[in-house]
Amino acid sequence: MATQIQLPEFPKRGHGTALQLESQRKRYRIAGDALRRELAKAEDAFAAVLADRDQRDQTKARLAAMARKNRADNLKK
Amino acid sequence: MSNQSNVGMTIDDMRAAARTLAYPNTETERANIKRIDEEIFEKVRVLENGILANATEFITNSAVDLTAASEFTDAILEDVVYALDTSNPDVDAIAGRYEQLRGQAERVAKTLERLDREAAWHAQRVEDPYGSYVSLVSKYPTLRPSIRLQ
Repeated sequence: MATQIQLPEFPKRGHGTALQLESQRKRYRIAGDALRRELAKAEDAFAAVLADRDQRDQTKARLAAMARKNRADNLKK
Repeated sequence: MSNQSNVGMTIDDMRAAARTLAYPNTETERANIKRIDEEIFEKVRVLENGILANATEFITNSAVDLTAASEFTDAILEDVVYALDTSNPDVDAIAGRYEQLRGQAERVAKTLERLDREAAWHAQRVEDPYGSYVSLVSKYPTLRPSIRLQ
């Protein structure tokens, strides 16, 4: 069969370009990962700040309630 | 030498057929095989030039998206993460800035995923221009080179 004959390969010239493309692919992945990591970090930072703010609000509310109760108790005395 | 029809042959069939024909002597055989390989390689070379030009243009054009990714990464870090990590952050203002950055940053991240896939496609063509040419003439037989076998 003619198709079983070993044929010389085409002498391609794009090895350098192929390496460049592989390097680009790494850069796209690294850049994309860094971007998603910072987005996640920002979400976490917001969550931490809001949790802290909630805690402060609750503490303030508790302190205000205690102050009101103390004032009321003092008035009774 | 007789003329042989190459109708319906793939380019590999043509090259293989040139190696199985009867020749009057070795010199004629080598010259004919070389001529057919070179005629086909010349066609592949034209396609390869286009493939390399497209790949180079792709790499050049994607530089702006890599720069954008780097800028967004820095902006999120400085304008949001570091800004929130202060003693009394203006959370509402930072949230507004974050919303501006987030939507565009997610689009850039998706663009980078698409570029990764496109780069793989370009790389496959750059690595195998001969295969790309075989696929081309297989899909569009009228583009098959008309090469005299002998």
